[in-house]
Amino acid sequence: MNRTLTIASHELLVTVRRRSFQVVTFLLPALALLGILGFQTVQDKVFLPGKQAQFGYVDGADMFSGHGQQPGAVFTPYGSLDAGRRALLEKRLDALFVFPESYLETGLVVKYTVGGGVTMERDIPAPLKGFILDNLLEGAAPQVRQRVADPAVVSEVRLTLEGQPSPVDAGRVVFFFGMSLLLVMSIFMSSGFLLQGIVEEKENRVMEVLLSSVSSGQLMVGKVIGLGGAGLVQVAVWLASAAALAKLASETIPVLSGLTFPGALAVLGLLYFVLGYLLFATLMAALGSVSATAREGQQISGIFVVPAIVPIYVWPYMVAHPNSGVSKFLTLFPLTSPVTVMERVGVGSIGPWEIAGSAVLLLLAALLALWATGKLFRAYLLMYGKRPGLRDMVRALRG
Amino acid sequence: MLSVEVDRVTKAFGARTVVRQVSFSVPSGEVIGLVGPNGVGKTTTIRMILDIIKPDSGEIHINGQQPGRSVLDRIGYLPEERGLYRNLRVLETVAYLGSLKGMSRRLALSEGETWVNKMGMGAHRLKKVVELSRGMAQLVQFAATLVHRPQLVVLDEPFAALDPLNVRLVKDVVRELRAAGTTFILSTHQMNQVEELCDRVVMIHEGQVALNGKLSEIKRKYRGNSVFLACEPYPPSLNGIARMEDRGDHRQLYLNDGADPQVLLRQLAEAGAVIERFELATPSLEEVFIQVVKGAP
Repeated sequence: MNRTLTIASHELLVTVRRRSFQVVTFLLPALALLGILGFQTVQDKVFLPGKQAQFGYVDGADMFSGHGQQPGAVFTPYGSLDAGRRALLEKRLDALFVFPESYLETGLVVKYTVGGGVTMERDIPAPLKGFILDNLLEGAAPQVRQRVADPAVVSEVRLTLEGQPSPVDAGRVVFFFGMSLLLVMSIFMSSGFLLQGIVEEKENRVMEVLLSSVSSGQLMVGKVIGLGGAGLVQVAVWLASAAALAKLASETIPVLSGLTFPGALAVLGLLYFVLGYLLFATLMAALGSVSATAREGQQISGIFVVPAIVPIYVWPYMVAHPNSGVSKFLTLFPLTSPVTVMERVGVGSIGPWEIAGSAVLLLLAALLALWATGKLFRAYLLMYGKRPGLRDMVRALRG
Repeated sequence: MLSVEVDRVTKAFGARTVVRQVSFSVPSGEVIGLVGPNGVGKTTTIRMILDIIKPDSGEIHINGQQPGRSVLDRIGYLPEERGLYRNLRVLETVAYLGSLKGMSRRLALSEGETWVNKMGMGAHRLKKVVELSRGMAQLVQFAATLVHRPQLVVLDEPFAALDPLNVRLVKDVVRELRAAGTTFILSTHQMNQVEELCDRVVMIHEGQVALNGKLSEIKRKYRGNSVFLACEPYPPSLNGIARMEDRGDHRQLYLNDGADPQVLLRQLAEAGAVIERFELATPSLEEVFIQVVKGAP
């Protein structure tokens, strides 16, 4: 068997046998499945009729005369604050609400509860809101009451550059954001293993034995292929899980209803994994060849990791402005394109030419990195205990 | 069988020339000792022979060819510092390194098992390298070096970390392979091992070859003109003696320049001395080494 493939298959096997790889590969889909099932269970429990909360109220504004039965709570009137407080202290009430005379002008409602602590709650409890609306809108049509309670359900339609409605919805955007996170995680996990492996081989001197058997080029390519294969296994597991989870989630979680996972997206995900991995793996290999220790290599790897996760931080901006200059730049810039493309596919605003352009630029950057890494590999694989200076590296690249 | 020819090889790292015009040859089937103080270029020379790094000038030929992948597959290399994957199992490690020398996976596993057993590590073949002692890891490295049955074996400090029993085991393996025609380059500081195993010695000092030749010739060259003598009675006067040192159970007699030890032996016989020991004082390789390094005559 070709030596490069021997190295590749060895690296692949060693990596997929790592516990950390197995945990991340299979635990994430399992956690997502648990999350969906957990959501369903919690939802079922929340909407099951359970114990009704007992609320009291003192009507100083003289506006609340009925509608004490609300979903999840019963409101009982008290003639005075003292009577209400007594009931509260005797634990006949969970809370007491006092509507002062000026309630209509100020909206102020004083809530009494028993016990210490501070509540940070700012939202009005749903039963209280229903109680107030039912009393204030006494006699109004049910639809009017509904609109006051929930004034608008905004359904946004964005048009593609061709003028067609783009299939955008919040669930899809969030789902694809999650996919982009997984993509970058997989890329950095595989390329991180590569960096770690190379530095370890330098540290424990296996490198010398390897180089007496294979060329530095065979070693580098074999490692990149092997660890890339492990990453592909991981991505394939995640994509297959994502397709099944998307279906389950669309049936379970209302905001994700209608969510689908088109096969073309799987192809795009794999393409960007391969290209993104190729770029970052070769950069990490270069880093491994010039690093003295594993810790040093991991610390310096931040210069590649930070740009790659910039699209994650600017995701809210990108969702709001998917066709802005920043979004387009991040789509085309090789270090940010794998994540950005997935995010923009979620928003549904990326044109085919942008995908093609970013893929070509990513490929060119990866080839350039491969060339440079080959040079650094040859020059510094046997340099132990110290890191070459920038000038030395430039010289090695020219040589 | 492989022979090696190193011809005026020079290698510099930056401004520092580590190997300077080094030339020597390793005839096939012989064991050559590559000796010298630390940092004089031995490992760099070995790396150039193995084509891990390229010389700046000069040439290296293995069986008349420049080192290339095909010939390198016939070379086994045991580096000075152990080069093993800490978290890989013993047999797996040996088989992987064998497969990188062109063996099929199946053959590498079966040969790996043979060599692991031969090095006394059969009971540990499924253990991870990290679980082994330094000496045991050294034996595994030895198995990995020989698993593909190389025709040239380069051993850099092979006896470090080994106990006397395992030193004997390794030496026996070297002798066995040498008898089968394998060529060895043995780089070590342990001069007694070189004296035991090597046919020839190349001593490198300050990046250059300071000594090169058959071990017996080198020792003869550095012998000086003295003899060890133990006899009874000791004659009161002997001709041709420059000085004498008492060494307890014997004396070392330093002869005048040009004086013949055979003439001295005849004098002793004529004087009626009963000779217990009469030996040409040959220096150990270690003494030669020190002489060369310190520039002593």
